[in-house]
Amino acid sequence: MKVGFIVECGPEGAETKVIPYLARMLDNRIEPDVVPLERKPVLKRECGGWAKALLERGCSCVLIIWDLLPDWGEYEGKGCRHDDRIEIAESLKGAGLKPADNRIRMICIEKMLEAWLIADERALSAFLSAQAHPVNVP
Amino acid sequence: MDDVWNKGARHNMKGFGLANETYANPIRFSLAGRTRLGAFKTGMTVNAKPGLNGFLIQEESVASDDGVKFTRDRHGTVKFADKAATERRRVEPGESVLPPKMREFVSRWQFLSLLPDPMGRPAPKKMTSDGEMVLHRDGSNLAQYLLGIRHRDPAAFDGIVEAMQFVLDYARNFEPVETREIQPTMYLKMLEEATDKAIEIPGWLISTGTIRVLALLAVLRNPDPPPLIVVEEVENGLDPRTIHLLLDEIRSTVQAGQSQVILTTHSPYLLDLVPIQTLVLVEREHGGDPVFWRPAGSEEVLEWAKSFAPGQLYTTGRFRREVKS
Repeated sequence: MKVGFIVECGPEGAETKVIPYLARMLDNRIEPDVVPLERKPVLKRECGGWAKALLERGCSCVLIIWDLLPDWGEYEGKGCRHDDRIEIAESLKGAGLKPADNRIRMICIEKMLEAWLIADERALSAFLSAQAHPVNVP
Repeated sequence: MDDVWNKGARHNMKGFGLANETYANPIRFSLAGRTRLGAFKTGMTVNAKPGLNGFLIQEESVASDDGVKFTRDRHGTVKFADKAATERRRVEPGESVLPPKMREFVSRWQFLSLLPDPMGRPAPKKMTSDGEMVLHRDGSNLAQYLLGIRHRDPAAFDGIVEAMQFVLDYARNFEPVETREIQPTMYLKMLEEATDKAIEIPGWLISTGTIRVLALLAVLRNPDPPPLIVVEEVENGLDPRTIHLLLDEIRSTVQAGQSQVILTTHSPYLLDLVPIQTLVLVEREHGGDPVFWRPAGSEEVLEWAKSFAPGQLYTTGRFRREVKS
């Protein structure tokens, strides 16, 4: 099962390592294809075209993952989930996709993904686990 | 003075034949800063002696929050604002009256125009009390600079090595090496991961990009970082992944509030990684004078920036300065 991930980090950055690792922990049938799009403004602008390309190349779904807090908060504010969603939806529409397309999921992380993982792996396990499917994050 | 003053202006003599004869176009420096003791403002006017035979400080003034306030005139006479008019001091023509704490604020500014060749070669070791505080502009004392960091804060040194392992996953360690032949010299050695034992790579064989990024990480992760870091052409010899790492490091340094960082670049990739508000464009006017301006101050540029990244705006010529008629 091929899954596309569109993330905001540099080439071979943290997300490109963490996400395949996490995906395999959750289900080793997942074949992750991670597209790092540098920074949040780039991700919001270009995610549509990449999502379309990933779907066309066999991904069953595409997850667009970004941090709510911008890198340069002193210039770019505290982040707004509503505005981010609108901009991402615009990018998807620009690429000919429907923002409500079931194959596309938007995931906004309130704290930086890396910090979340480092801070509390037990909380993450609890969050990801279902009764029938316990997840252990080491 | 001959090298740095405005060559487009005429430099006539003033007070010709008099004891205070100087050139008519001095250079003026102004600085507003903040040390642990509070804010301060200082200004200095520098001129040349007749025939460009040495330089002199023509005027100088200092005012700070902690009550230090004085001026000096072209004769080197220092007047204190809070003391009687009769209380004066005399200094040499080229001697600044800036108090040590303010002078240190400036002398610790780190300017870098890194040259990989001298950085890799053995360089004379200088005697210092607590390790090198400032990396030479060309980076040639990198080995001793790193040794100073390792002495003062081994954890900071380990952090630099760890960050380098992200750049080169086979790098095991970086070792400042001292030689004692005619005079003590220092150079850098990289220990490279191999199947059974580490391979030693001397500084002059380390790649130019590796040694440049090592120097930049050393400055950014210095446990006592300079208040200002100015790097020329930061992207030279670096791949996109390493440029991204460096930007992350720079952001951490800046957001910790300990340093300001100024980078010069021609790289659209690097421009894409910073907010447009941080960019200053430098261009020459028709007359040849350099003009510094902020693209984010232009409404037209900001409108373009809604759809395109700064690097794209730069390469497509969208950074157009609005010239007021």
